Amino acid sequence: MDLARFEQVSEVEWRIAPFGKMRVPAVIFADAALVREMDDKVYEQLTNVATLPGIVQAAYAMPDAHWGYGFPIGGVAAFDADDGGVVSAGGVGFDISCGVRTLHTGLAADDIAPLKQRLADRLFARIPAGVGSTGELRLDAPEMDAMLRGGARWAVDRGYGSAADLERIEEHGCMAGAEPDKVSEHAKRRQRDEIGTLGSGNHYLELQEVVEIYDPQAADRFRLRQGEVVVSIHCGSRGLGHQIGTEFLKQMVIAAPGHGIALPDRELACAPIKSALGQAYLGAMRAAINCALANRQVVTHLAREVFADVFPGTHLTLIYDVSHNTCKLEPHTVDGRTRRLYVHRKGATRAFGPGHPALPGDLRDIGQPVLIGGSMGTASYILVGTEAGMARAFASACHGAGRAMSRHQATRQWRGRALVDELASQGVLIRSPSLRGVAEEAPGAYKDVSAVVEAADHAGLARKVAKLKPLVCIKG
Amino acid sequence: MKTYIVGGAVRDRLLGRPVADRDHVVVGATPDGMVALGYQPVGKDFPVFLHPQTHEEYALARTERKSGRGYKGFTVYATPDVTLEEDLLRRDLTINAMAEDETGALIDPYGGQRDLAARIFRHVSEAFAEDPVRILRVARFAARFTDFSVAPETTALMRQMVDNGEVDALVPERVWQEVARGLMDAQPSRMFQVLRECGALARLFPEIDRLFGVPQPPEHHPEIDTGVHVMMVIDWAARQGLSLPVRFAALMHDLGKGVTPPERWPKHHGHEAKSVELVRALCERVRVPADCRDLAVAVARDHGNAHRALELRPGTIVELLERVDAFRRPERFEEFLLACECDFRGRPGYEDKPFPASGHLRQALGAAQAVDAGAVARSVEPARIRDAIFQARAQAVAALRAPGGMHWEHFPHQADMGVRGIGPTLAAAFEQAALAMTAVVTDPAQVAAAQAVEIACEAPDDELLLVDWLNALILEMAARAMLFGRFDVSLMGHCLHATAWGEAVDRAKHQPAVEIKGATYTELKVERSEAGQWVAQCVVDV
Repeated sequence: MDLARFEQVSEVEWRIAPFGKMRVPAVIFADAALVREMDDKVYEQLTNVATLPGIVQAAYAMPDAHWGYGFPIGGVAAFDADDGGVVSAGGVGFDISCGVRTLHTGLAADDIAPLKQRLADRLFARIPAGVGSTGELRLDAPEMDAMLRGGARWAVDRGYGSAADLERIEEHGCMAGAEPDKVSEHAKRRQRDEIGTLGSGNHYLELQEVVEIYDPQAADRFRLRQGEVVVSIHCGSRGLGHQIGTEFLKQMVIAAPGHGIALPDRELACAPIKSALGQAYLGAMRAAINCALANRQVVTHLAREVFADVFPGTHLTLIYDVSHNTCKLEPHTVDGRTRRLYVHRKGATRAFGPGHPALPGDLRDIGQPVLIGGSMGTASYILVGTEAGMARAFASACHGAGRAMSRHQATRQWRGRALVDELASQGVLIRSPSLRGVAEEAPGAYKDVSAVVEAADHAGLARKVAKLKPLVCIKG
Repeated sequence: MKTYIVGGAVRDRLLGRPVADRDHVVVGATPDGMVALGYQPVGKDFPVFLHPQTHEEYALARTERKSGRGYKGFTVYATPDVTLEEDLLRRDLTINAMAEDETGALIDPYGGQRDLAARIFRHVSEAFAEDPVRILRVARFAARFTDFSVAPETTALMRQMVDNGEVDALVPERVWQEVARGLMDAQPSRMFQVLRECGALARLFPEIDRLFGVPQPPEHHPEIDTGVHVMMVIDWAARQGLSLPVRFAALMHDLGKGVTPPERWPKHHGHEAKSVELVRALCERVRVPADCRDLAVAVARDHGNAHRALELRPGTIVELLERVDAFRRPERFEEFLLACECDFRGRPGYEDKPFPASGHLRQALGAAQAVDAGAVARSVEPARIRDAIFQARAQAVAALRAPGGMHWEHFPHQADMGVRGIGPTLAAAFEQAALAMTAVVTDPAQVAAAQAVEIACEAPDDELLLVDWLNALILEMAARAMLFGRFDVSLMGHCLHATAWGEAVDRAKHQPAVEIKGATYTELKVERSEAGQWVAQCVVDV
């Protein structure tokens, strides 16, 4: 994008003053190079979001923002229900509550080295990944509803993990206000046997080595030690979330004129929070959040089984679990006044600072771990929420690298087998059911995650704690 | 001795742009003194040294006096008493004539910061006129710094230089070097605009200059002016980040229109052949590298055929593929298609229109490549081999198109993928769009029609109906763990009934690349193209 289209507030903050039907300004947090590389569609989509009823303060884009559906991916916007505010299915996205969790293993990279191949093969065999894969659980109707209401807590109650895990998950592992009866039969049908599966695309389970520590105090509290290995899991609400997104998007498009909402773009489909449709979506979306939390909890259990078998005596403890595609009701201070806002984070991570009451007791004084997933074969980062970040973009940070190149281009440029071999020569073992899928996810098809993280740190959205390098990647 | 960072690095830092190379000027030193400090001498004409560790360039401060024509005729003085200000004075533009000392303090004797803020290219002194390459450089800067304009007095000076015949003395290699760099910048049209305004374009590239003011038929070219069209085409190519050969071919493709006798305007029958002649002559004169030349010639010759691909006979398509050398050099063919697409999109209102021709040619190549030439060759007598292979390829292309020019293609979206179906009826376009969606996951030809699934949906309009149809398929694919390879759609108003045939996902056989989450309203379009074909498209989230 042309930088001349922005008012530069600082090296990492770019503002678009309201024009046309915009109700609030639009703000991008990124350095000049990242903004320049962003698609013009980000500008268009962000200024469109700023026109929606009840939007508060500004429409924000994170350093990894790219062209999404209505909302840019990497977009953050908050709405006030009392001010005619809306909830948008596109503003949450199809993969509701897609997110990342990271587990501490206590093993050194050197301990893992001799057994790396075996570990990769065992994890790949144990964790269902890719198109058409199914989990071991098959949920009947009452069990489906219990899962949608209970989230990770449902999984723990059935023996997948322990109560200690729940403390390290947003919403303590269970999103309140979920309404399984607002989730269609089609959505439930898509989910029947998908609990405990990774999915495909950019979803993965990775073994990563802590290679750099930036903030020793926070790293110590998160139990991150140089040279040690962690396990990171990136997946979401699977078919159920996708189906909910699809169905409500359509209903919101059709109902918009009746709600008196003129959409600049159909993809921006939304409904007033206080309308029946808005409430139904929130109920269904919260059920999908629980579905994602349950899913990551079950996948975690499978990874623990493999580790217990290969390294008897190890226990994987959860460092934290973050969600990327959500709309959550949170109190935020705006112009000195505390307001309860519906914060949409589409491809953005919640980043609560120290002292936030939603954080578990043992992390409250340091801040929330913010887990940033890299693309296959590249680095990941762990950041921590800051006091300053609370006032920046409703306590939000980036979520990953963001694509720089379409899948189409990627398959023309890379071959899956060659990539797997090349990464192996760099010490990264890839296991995937699809070589074409590997080519589409080539590291070169993504932006430089380090630049994104640097910009997030620089902009004060969150603070860098540690850098992780992949050792093994099970790709969906 | 004092050293300074000078030129582009200072400018780019002030602009907040990434700094690629840092050039340094050294004041108060001698060549021997530099060598004694470990610097490595590299300059042929000027005293330039490489730093022993960083390998950045350090030049002794110098003044230059013109002593002949062209860019080589200079006398250089680089004694230790040459000041920084004197060195900066010989530079081209004020924004490039700033320096930074070792403490980071800015030295700006000629108003560089002021012109940077005002976004103006202004020459530092009359010495600008001593080097005609600077006209090309200013033009190239205009393509890179798209919000800058040339100061009126600088344009006047450049015009005077052109009138004095200065640009005629430029060596071809240098012209090509600058133009090639400008083509790779953000908005190449601005380079040609600057060259045109000072009269240099008519001297350097009369073939391009001539295009301005030549009308084209408004029904295909809303912009009418050929020069304007070509500028839109190269800017489109730049926005897509395409390669130099593609951008150069885009620049060259319509040169023939400049020599159409005015009484035939706005038609340009046969301009392709004239373009080829002019492109060859221009490439010879400017010493354009072979890869750029060959692609430009191919695009000049066959861009009209590429646009008509859906109407061409299968045999004509195979001839086109052979002429473009697509069988031996598929990557070149990709560039050919991209350049033709730039030609299509470089017109007002055409940016988002479907351009099914390129997808069709790509599929035609795939079909023709799939012909087993060896087997065909063994089945006929030697004298007939060539013809038999040609016929087999033409048949493969014909089979692809029957019935009625139906096909599908993908189009790029940053994170996901666009699917597009094209057919003679709306129902056919919907069927093709479904095939395109299957192709996101696997090759549709690998999916057996083992089981049939009935699907019905309804929506308020054609576009919502397309999304509904694809989402209904996504639901069946996910819930049944199936892939579908054949579709039969019937439409009654906005009600759709369909049968989809397919089989269970077999990971070894299908190598499914990715699972589809949903069909979206992004790039959603259902419409009839100019050629009367139905086009149905949207982006699917994966």
